[in-house]
Amino acid sequence: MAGRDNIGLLDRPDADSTHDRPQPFPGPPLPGVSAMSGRRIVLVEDDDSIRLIAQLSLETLGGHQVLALASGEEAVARAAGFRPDLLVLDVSMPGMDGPETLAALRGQASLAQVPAVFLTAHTQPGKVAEIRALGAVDVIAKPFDPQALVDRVARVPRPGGSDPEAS
Amino acid sequence: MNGGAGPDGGPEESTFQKVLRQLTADYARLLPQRLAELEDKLRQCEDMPASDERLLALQRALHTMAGSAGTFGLGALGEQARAVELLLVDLRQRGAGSAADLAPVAAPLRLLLRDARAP
Repeated sequence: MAGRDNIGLLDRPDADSTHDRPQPFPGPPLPGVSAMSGRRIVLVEDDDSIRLIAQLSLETLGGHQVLALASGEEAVARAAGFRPDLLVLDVSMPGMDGPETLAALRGQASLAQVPAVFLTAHTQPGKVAEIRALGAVDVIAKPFDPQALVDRVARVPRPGGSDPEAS
Repeated sequence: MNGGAGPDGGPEESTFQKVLRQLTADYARLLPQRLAELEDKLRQCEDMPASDERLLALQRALHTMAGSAGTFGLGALGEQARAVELLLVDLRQRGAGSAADLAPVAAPLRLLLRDARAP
């Protein structure tokens, strides 16, 4: 049995539940990351390791605020309260999967126009096209490089049309 | 990078790099548990090959590994998991009824387990 000091980030007692701390990873964004560029992102991913690394990347490298949730059901209950301007959803999750979650979120008035990006380990072109057709502005393949995730998110147009890459 | 020098005189490790290193170490430390779970799910399928519920549970575990291992520096493992996952998807579409049906999935999965556990 590992001692308490040996407990890692993936062993946290709440590893299967919601992670919505405002600043889970210590320290400011890296130099060159403007706080003004930060988005409010709801991230839904059931795999603890991927959820944590995606959250870390988006917060620390991207300067975004992230509400990280472990299930579609949690997202439906909590996303609107966070007032996100971007949704990042895993496709394959137990319970409500990513497409079902997006459909439910789209049914909430305040989230109806929020752009969505899917994360998926399905990389077959036909499957990716199918996923994109569900209304996602991008489909990011897993496994991903942390910086590549941040770069892809930066290319997603903001609601209202301003281009984050142009500023 | 944040600039400055680290304890060994090299570039100072950023907060991101520190946490990424810890997550990668955590993933490696928990890998034996994930592999044991995969093996257990495989055995459950072999006990009842016609159970699509069991096949789906195995497929989900493989899918998770395929989508995560590469991010933590275990790209070959992730690719193996993806290859076995696709075999299993195909098997589920055709419908498994016996242990013999499952063999084309079980063999490469056992190879994956052996490779991942190799020192």
